[in-house]
Amino acid sequence: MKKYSLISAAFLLAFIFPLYGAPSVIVKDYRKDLIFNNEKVVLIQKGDNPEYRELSFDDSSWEKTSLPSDWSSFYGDWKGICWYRIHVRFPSGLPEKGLGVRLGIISDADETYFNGTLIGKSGSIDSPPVSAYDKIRVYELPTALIRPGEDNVIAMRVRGLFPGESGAFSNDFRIGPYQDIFWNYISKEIFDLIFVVIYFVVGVYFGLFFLRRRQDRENLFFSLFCVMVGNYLLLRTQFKHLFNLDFYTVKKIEYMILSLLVILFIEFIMFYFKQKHRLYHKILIVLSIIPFFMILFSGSFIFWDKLNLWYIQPLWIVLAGTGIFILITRFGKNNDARLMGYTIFILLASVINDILVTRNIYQFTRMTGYGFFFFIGSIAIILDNKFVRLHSEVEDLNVNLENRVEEKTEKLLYAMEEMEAAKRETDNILLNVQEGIFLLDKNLHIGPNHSSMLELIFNKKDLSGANFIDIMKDMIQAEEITAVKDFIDLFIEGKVAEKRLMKLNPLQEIRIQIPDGFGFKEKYLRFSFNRILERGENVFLLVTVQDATEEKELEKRIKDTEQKAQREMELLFELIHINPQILKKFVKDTNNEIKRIEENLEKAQFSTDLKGLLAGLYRSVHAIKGDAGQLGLEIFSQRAHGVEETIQFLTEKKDLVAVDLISLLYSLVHLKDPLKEIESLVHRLSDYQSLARVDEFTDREILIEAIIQMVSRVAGREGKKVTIDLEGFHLPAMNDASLSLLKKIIIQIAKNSVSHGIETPNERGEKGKPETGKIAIRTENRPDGYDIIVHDDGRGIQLDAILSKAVSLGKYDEEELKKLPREKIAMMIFDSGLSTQHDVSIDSGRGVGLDIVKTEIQRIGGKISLKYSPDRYTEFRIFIPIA
Amino acid sequence: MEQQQLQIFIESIMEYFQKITGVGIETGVPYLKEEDSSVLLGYTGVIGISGKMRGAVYITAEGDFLSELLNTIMPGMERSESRIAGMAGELANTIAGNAQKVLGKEFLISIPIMLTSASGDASNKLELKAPTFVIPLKWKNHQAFLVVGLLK
Repeated sequence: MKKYSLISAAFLLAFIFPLYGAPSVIVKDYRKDLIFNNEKVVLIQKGDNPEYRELSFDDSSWEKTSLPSDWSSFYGDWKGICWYRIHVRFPSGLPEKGLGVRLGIISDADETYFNGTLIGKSGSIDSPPVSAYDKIRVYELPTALIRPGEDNVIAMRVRGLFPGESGAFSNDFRIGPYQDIFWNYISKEIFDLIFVVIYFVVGVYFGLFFLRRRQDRENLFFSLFCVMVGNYLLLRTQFKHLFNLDFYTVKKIEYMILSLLVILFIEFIMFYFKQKHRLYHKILIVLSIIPFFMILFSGSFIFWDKLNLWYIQPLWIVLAGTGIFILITRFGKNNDARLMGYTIFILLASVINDILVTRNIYQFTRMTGYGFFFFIGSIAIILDNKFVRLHSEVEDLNVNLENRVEEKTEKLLYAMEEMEAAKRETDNILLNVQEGIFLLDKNLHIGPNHSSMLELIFNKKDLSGANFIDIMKDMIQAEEITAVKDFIDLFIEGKVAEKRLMKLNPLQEIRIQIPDGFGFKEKYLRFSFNRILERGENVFLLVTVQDATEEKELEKRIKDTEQKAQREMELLFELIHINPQILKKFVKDTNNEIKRIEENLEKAQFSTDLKGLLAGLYRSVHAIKGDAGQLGLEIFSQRAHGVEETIQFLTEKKDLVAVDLISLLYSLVHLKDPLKEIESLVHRLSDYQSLARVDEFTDREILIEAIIQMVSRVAGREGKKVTIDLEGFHLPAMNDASLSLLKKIIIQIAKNSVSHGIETPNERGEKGKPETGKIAIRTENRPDGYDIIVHDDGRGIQLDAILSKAVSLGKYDEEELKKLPREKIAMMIFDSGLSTQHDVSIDSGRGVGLDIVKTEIQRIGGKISLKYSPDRYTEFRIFIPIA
Repeated sequence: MEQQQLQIFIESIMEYFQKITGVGIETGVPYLKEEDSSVLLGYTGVIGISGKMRGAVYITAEGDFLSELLNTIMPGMERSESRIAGMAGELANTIAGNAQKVLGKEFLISIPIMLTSASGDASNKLELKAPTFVIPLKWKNHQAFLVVGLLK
């Protein structure tokens, strides 16, 4: 029994041990995908032997392990070939679909056998270096080779190149339907590809941003960063193996990208936060560039790996530190910095997580991929936000700008309208202002904008740009020009105060002559000057010219008018008490007399009898003087007296020549002036009279009025008292000329009676006569005419006085005179030049007066006679024939 | 115009004739003319005067007077209308020149203007101011007039 038991035990051992002695992956259901990670079902052996592949090979002495597992725990840094053997048991029967196996990532190359037959290989296991160390192995298990319900062996011949990282060291290990395993593998890759595409899209997006806004360099670096990360990840996927890309080249590029990312990231941060490139940053960049070239020019994969491990990765730490430092310094001020900081922290956390996971410190999903995605996504959002923010700012600015442009345009339009209005206003002012206004520049040129009046004042055209001094030269004397120049120089110099300087203005008021017709026109101009300052500098002189001619003329007219008015007033006082009709008559007679004088002068031409001419003129002037005297026209009488004196002077002048008579013309002009004034006054007075409807006087009344006025005035002047008796004075009808003549005769005789006949009241008193003398004028009709008798009760004719005067004149011999009868001597009072009055006065005294009476009477064929009695009376009898 | 100033005009013309022709010019009795009537013979040389006084001075003569004068000054010179008229201008110029010397810069004297009876109603163009003094002149039996009309 014991023996039996032993046999049965041995059988069991013999049967079961081989059956159960080797650990196996037990596939219970062909349809299920079985993961055998971390199951101690794997045998490992260092070294190479072709038998190791065989199903029948006894591997019981091999080390047991689980997957994933590098061989360093068994063989240290062994670099060479190791074999893995995995025993698999399938259920009975064959699978409906083909089976496959996933053997994770094997470093570096492998040849995999199933039940002794090669089912797949990756990399070049016999020609190192690296060729497939990151490839996920998925191989088909040919159904024909499957031994259902029996032991099957998957044997992997692996060449390891990296100390500590050789063999099937990571990823998933599965067995199941090939389709499921493949799709599981490929879908993970496709999932990774989606990230890659996203990175590319983000990269391109920001690349375009950069192209649109070149100044935002952070967009360029972020774009490059994204593209590089995308590239890197793309190269990291399994597609390179699927498409059989050259593994070596792909890995080289991968490492180069890794070193470049450092630069791109730091540049991005620098530009984003507008940091200046300090020496420190430059050094970082140079340090980042170095591994790039080292990888480029090195062919050693081991070197790349070391470089990555000992250079690039630490550099990344420095870089991350720098980035974080920059971010921290901006933390307080910038939301973006804060966000970026958080994402970097998260990225770092994921990286640290993965490092810890790869080192098997703990088991967790690898996070770096997600961390990166999160990082790039966040930064893209930050940048995008920034862009949106900028965009809306730009939009706001645009709107603002539009508003401001609109506002400015409106303002500009308004300003232009205002300017135009101001220009119109200025033009209107310059066109209509009554002064000449212009600007003088430093070279004394007249500015283009001057008032229109200026041309009129200067009587010149095209004044723009003309030299002021040249213009003045035509108007004022050379020596004055110098003064004007000096004055303007002082003005431009600007050292002396304007007010003080203006007191020296030589052009304050100037009189200029402007050619006009045959002569010149006189103008008075007043210039004033003002400095015009621009930025405190004296650049122009504003000159104002005023034409003061009218003002001056007005001044003169006013003065003349005042004088005239004064003369007229004086005249008026003389005229007011005279009957206007008498005055009218006087003016008419006098005008005729003056005309006669002028005609006589004109007729004389080259006459040799100048004295005769003068004597005739004298009589006319004397008659005028007499008439004026009768009416008491003092001023006029005096002027006539002046003419008389001129004639007297000329008559007495030795070597008298015709041209000497000019002085007579002057005194005549002098006489005519007041006559004109009298005439105009009389005219006005008679207007008043006609308004007052004063009855017209008869010729007799006019005559009587004239006689009375003359007598009373002469008497008043000589201190005599006289009455006139006109009882018997009756005039026949006669024409104006005869009446004028009659008046002249009667007045002359009556005047003679008052002056020479009637004594002063004292004298009369002494003689026992009444104080008041009497002059009686009467007419007596005769068959062929009438007599006018003028009788006075005065002293009679003073023969002695006549005699002595006649002697003194040298006209008569004294002895001869004494022989003449008394009547003849008495009649001498009618001779020219004989006046018994001692002083020559305007009323009498030149002995001309009675001689005119005599001449006139003789002219009309009349007669004059006189009788007298000393101290009793004188009586003139004048016979006027009727034609 | 002052008498002395008028005298200057007269003297300057007398001096001119005495000096240039050797035959003195005779002056007749001067007379006054109204403003609106003027003495005008065939040829007239006018000078306009302004300044302290305004008006005109002219000398007017017939052609025979002037051609005789021309002949005396430049014997053998061909006579022409323009030369005769020029002579009237020359006379006026002489008066103007002399007068300017004496009267000084207070008087502004225009260049002489010649008028002939062919110019039409020349009196309109004469800006004589009342009172107008006319001085008859006689030289070698030819008549001329010096006319002065100035107003202060």
